[in-house]
Amino acid sequence: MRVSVRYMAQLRTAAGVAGEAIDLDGPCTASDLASDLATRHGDALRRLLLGADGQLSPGVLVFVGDVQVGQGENISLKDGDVVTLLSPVAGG
Amino acid sequence: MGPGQPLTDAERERYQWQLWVPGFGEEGQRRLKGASVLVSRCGGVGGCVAYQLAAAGVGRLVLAHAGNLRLNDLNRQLLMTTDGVGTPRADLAGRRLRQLNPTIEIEAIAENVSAANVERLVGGVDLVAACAPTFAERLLMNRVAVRRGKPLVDCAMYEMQAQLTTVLPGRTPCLACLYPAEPPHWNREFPVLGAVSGVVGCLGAMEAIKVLAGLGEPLLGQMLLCDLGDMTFQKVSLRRRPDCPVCRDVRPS
Repeated sequence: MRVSVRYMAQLRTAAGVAGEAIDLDGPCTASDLASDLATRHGDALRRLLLGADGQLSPGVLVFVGDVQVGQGENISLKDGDVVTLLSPVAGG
Repeated sequence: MGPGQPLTDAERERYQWQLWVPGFGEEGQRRLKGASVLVSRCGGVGGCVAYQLAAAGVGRLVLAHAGNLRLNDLNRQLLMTTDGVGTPRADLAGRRLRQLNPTIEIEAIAENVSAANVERLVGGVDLVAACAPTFAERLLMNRVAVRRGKPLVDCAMYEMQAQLTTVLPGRTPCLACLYPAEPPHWNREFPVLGAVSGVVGCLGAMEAIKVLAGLGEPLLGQMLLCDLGDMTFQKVSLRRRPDCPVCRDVRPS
């Protein structure tokens, strides 16, 4: 299964790429995907994506397609999904 | 919003070109004239919001912005001028907007929104444009705006990206639904091209005009994500948090 990830704001800086395709071995939630991405990209992304408990940080907004995934909602990703990860910004 | 205030002949001439906009017309203009907006703050984003709202004829603008102008503000803060460096930004913003449109009321306050003034500032207007560079200030305005049933337009940017949403208390997610805690990694100083803050400022002004004039479809329960690096614009739907401490018990007013 392959999903596309799009990084927004500071997450993009930390990942070093605007987006990427990720191959997944099996069933995967957005939180699982975040852990996978943190492993791939290292500490800078991990600090933004994951909380101290290793779970997806409540400060990160997650969208699958054009729909927000609620905090703690365990939606299984599907082949072809586009996942947008957004770190909140307040530039004014 | 209410029916607004009648227009003078001079106002019909000033706003002639926008009175032609379908769905806006004289009724929309009257509504803007009778409306008031708090803009916090008047930097790269908020300055453009305020500029557009003044030009459009919002009857009363309250500008909240502390501090003096620095040279490195001038790449984005379009209400400011080089000869104003070292002087209060609120004064400069107020002066420029009065030059643009002397028929509206402008209250320029050399303070940022804080716990000490938020009730008075948010409570005294019809709509809030949240353009501050800190989550603390945005979340504070959100809390009071939701409790008082005031619409809030949240305009934010970072590097070449921008995001925008409009909060209608009791009907849409509020900022505390999106950001249950102040994001710890946000840095108050951030990369900014003035053209990017100008884009989100103009978009935010358009949201305010739509809400106040009853025009078009504001971003209710939606967020616009803009990537000006590749010109991708995406509208995503947002979730209201059933356990949100700010808006969970709020019903539409």
